Amino acid sequence: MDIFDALKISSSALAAQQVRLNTISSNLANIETTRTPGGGPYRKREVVFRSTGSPFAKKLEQSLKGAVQGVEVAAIQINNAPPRVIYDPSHPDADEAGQVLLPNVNLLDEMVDMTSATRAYEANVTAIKAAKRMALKALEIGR
Amino acid sequence: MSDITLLSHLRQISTPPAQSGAPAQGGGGFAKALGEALASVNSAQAEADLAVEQLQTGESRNLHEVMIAMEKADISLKLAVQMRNKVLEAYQEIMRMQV
Amino acid sequence: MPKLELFDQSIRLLEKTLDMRQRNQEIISSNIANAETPGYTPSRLEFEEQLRQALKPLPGAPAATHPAHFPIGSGDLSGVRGTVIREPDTLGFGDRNGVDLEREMIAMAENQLLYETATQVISKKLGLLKYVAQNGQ
Repeated sequence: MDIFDALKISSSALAAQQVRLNTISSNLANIETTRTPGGGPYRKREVVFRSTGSPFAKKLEQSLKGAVQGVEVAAIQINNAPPRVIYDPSHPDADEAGQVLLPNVNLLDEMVDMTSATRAYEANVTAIKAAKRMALKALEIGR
Repeated sequence: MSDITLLSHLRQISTPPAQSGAPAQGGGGFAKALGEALASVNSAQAEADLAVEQLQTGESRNLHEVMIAMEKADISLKLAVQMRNKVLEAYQEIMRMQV
Repeated sequence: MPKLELFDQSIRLLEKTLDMRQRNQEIISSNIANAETPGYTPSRLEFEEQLRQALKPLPGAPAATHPAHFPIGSGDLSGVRGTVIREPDTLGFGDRNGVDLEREMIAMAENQLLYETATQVISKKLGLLKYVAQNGQ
């Protein structure tokens, strides 16, 4: 067991939250995208988190096994909720009935998610600072 | 005459205070002071140790108590060591004197 | 002739505390990292009570007869290992992630502060021993 494990765990969380923030940015950027290469409107993307089995610490003590885990993005999955439908015959992508299919991205949901991701990111930065400070203080023993 | 008085001072310091009966000017004072200093060093150390223990086992969360107790122990130990050094210096100086 | 013990129980206690608090930091970091992972069960490290028990004097052991005497404990600190306790989510809905971020942040701040206090105290004690060994210079 060592203090560097704590740093690795927290940095794995930073990476995971960064992926989440990027996904949210992608959703927000495409909130009005009606055309995608695959056809149809843009569909919201979501990240799925999973805790890792500490691949970086093969020598974990028995009692800590399972308790100390990092986190990773298991998948970025596409949300298959039905798209929003509005009536706008003048839209270039309107169909025969004058309806337009818009992405199933909800602005408020994305903003809340973004706040949550930022908060989680900051919490892990604080954890890194704490671990680093502890290690530096230990170096000062006897000085 | 003064040499004899100094020698009797030294004898007082080396014998336990209860037995010293030599009538020197305030001769028992220094030995007593040294004894008290040592006792207070001991109790300061014990107090500091106890404060640390209570903090780390969760019985008390008074950080300032611990830090102050540590400083007290530190100062009283350093003071006692300096006193001992001074006594040794004085003894050595006396021993160097040509009688 | 009693054995000359240079590094007394107080220093052993501090070493043990530093060990425990470092592990605690790892566990808390893990909880914070997984604050949003579905199904994750947070853990806690229990060791303060174990320390207290280890420091208590054994029944029948000599008691300190004078306040200036050092307290005599059973002193078996090496046996203290700390227990990892899992705290599953009790809310019963949502993604069954049991992590309370605020609580973890507070636990982390407390742990860090106590760790740093211990390093300062052990530093001071070792410094005092050095001072005496170097004859007061």
